[in-house]
Amino acid sequence: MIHIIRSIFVIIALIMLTSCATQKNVKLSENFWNNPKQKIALATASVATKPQLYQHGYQGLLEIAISRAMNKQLNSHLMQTDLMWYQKLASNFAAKLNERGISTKIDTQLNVNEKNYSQIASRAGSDKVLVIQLEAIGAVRNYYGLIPINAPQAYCVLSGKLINTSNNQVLWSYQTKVIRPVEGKWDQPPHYPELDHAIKIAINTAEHELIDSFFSGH
Amino acid sequence: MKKNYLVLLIIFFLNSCTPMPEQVMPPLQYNMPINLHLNKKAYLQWKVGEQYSSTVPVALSGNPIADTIGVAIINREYKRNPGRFTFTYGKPQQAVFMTSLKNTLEQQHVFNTIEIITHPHQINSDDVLITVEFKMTRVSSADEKYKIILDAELAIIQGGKLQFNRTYLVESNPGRFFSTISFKNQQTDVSQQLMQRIIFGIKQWSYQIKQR
Repeated sequence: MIHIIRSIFVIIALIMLTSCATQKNVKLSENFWNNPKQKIALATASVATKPQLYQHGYQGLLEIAISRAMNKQLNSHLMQTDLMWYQKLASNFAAKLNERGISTKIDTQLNVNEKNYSQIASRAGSDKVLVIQLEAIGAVRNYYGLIPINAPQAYCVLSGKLINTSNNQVLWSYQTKVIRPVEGKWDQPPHYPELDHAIKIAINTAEHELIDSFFSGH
Repeated sequence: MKKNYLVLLIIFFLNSCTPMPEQVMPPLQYNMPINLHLNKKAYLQWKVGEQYSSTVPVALSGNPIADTIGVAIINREYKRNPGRFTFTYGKPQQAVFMTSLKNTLEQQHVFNTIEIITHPHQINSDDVLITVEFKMTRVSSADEKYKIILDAELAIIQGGKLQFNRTYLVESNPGRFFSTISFKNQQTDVSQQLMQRIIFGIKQWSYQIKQR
């Protein structure tokens, strides 16, 4: 009997922990737009992972290692994915905020692990920081052991959050996870043109989605 | 033996909670008064953009032989009937949305007349052209409970000039861990949010033209 009760408690605890793990988007309040005199510090965090093929599914360590070796050519191609758009993303946000009368300052000194947003804010003479991060870029493929279940798909995960550093309140938070199938043949080494095209569209969608989430209705 | 029955029962319950992809939402109801009348003829133009769908993941048992056979069967079923496994906010849902928006504007006499068009060829300079472009519709993966995201642009044109332009991003609420909100209800939820935003946009535009 004790074993059954203990098992039930473990299951409940696991469910609770799993539900905490999902990140929820926070909508920007309408009050934010009523104060055009505010100043916002903008920062782009460095890319969380290098562009690559993300392997999802049922795989053991040995299978991961073998399939990684098999995907070496694709991975070395994905590593060359152009990320110039990401460097310009903060400027795009800044231009749109400026159009709406809100002044901005782009911080270029942000470290990926810098969580002390008040330092970024004080460098810009502001109390609000808008941080953008590219969480994943490249392609994604599902595996069962060594067997690929589907063709690689373009993949882009981009997130942003606006923090009020005076009280550490998250005023806006959004994560977009775009997965786009490749139109036509994906397996065209060494340049993978169709896969590259799909990645470009996925990036474009993710970028617009993030911006439109922030400026929705304004 | 009893354990096997319990496992089958759990699988049955989990499967019954899984939302059905092929369902399309019913016409939307907008019960709030709009309190706006413009003595003009209006055209509602619908534009379709990028659509991102999500597929039902393959459930695996951990038994390599059974799973390999299972994956092969499911892949064949995916190819034969993709609609059964694909969640999307596509043209059928967008058509219901546009018709509901038109009916709401008509029933509440916001314009003298309103009709849906696909090409703005018959517009006079005094007529109003309202364009709703579904720039992007996306259904997220099973781990995000097939949450629907709509990124739409409203443009109001009169006399050949763009008078009002807004982008709206809305997302459905798929509920918490044990929630059983159907995909059809998520479509209704997200569409109703978008309809409210678009009607608010039309009100903002009418306020702007009255100010001029």
